[in-house]
Amino acid sequence: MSRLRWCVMLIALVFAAHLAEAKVYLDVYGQSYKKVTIAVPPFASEGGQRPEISDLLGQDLDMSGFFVVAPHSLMDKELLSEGVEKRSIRFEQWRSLGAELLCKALVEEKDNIFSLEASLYDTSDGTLLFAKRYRAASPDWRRVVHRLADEIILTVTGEKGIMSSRILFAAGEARHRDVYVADLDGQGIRKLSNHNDIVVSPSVSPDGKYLAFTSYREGKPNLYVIDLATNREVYVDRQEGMKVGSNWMDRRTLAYGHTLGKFSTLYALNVETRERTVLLRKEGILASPAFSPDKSKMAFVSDMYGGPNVFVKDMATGEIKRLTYFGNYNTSPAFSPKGDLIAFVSKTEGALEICVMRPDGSDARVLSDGGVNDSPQFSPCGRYILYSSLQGRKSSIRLMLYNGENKRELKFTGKDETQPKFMP
Amino acid sequence: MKKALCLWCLAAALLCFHGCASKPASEPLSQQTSQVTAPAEHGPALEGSARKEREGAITEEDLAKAAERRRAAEEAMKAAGLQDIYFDFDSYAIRSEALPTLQKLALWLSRNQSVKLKVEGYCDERGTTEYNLALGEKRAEAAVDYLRKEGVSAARMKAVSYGKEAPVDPGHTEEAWAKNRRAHFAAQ
Repeated sequence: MSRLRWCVMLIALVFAAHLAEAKVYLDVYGQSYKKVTIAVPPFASEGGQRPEISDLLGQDLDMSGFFVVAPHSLMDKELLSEGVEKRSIRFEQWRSLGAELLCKALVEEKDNIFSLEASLYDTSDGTLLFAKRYRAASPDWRRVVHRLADEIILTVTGEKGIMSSRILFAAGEARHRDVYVADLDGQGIRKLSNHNDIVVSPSVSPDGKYLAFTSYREGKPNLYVIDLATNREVYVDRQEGMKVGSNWMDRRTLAYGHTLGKFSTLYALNVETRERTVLLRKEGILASPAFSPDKSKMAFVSDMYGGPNVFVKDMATGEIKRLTYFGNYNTSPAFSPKGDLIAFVSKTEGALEICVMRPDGSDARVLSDGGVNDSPQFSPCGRYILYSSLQGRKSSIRLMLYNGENKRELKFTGKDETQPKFMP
Repeated sequence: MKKALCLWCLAAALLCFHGCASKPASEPLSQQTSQVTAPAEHGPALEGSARKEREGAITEEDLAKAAERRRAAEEAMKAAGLQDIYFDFDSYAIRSEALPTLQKLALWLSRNQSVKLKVEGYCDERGTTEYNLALGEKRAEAAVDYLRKEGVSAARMKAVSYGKEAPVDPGHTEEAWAKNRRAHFAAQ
């Protein structure tokens, strides 16, 4: 009995230490981690409370997958109207709600300037984990909240959140589609192309200068590269055949696949010098070139052994290795930013699933659950996978942690949305 | 069997006649285009806006006539029983049951020399976008290759893949998928 008590105490101690350190790590082959419960009471301002601001922060933290946000209905009036100064905070009350963290903030809006002063406390001992002040033009208040969310996520998990990210995707209906960019929360939707036709596989160069995509505007699938600042076409590949699957190797080098006649070719194109080199040429189909972070390896899809499978080419030695031996349909590879995982799509009984494997093809795991899933892409921090999912009649963009937990549907245009990427 | 062949020849001959009959309508059209656009290109004498107007009007008329011609050719193809050919899942091999259609099409094209052919490759939704776009290209080219072996000039044919981006049947059943794994022949 006493032994058991010791155990419990030890666990409590370990937990306290863990919170004091305030780090939550997500395991690579994803043992579940405990979510941290955080209370975000309505933010105070001179003209009364601003619940829409604290609600957005709660929404961001919930979306991240690392937090349980304590519902306001649990808080009584006194707690809801408690002051923001540390001395007026009754941490034991917050603890009794189960909140391990508490975020308090004061909002001020004057002369079209929005400012937010936020504090994050550990309720176990009232430690101030951080205090920050943000300022922005009033219409950009949502961006401020996303930045605060990312900061809280950094404090708790040791890595910055993705709530300030923007998402690039293709959207529209039937033959009326274009490339869009939008904030992760669905706001600030902007059209980047004006082709109003079948538009696929958009990608933006790492410095955000160029947009590449394939469009049928001229009656056949041509590959366009646009300078986003001037909206001018800097390169168009109008060869016969299919040109698709663009991916940037560096600031000005675009890789893409070309299928024509007996052969398929993976090209590397310098969009500024227009110099085009062959990365790989083979009979049959080659598609979807994707690069390891150090560019030493290129993953791609080939049907050289029947159905499509994921292969990897060592760029130094030229050696080609097959990675997927499960099922007979494996496509759409994408390296994680640390190079320790490859996400891809595998056809299973009745579905196309998002999977991950080690870069040598081992340890493959299915992450999605049913439907037609496509185009997995890691977040720059490597903790999330963005993908498109056709469930029923509609294709939408989804986000999940790279262990498959915390699946969320993102809402943007309300139309069919495909092939998402994190905007650099 | 012989009777059927005779009937086909008759049908083809009739179609050929039809094609010939519609030819005069199409040839002067192309002459007309070059006549009108040539001065427009080299003639800055015309005032900008007026030239634009004229150009616009003629292009529209042109387009309408071209569309009309395409429609007529497509109807003729349909009447000749020149339908889509279908493929197995994740395959671009021409099935044996598609051969009669392709042979018929080659014969029809040999008798309708003014018709240019756009061969469109399509896939069902059970695949990923990029791979399906390449697969559709292979399907369209497989059909083009066969037609070339049957004597149709490569210059008259163009392969364009739509992958799974433009399904003819938006359904999510085996039947719909089978219909979407196809090569479609469009007269140009």
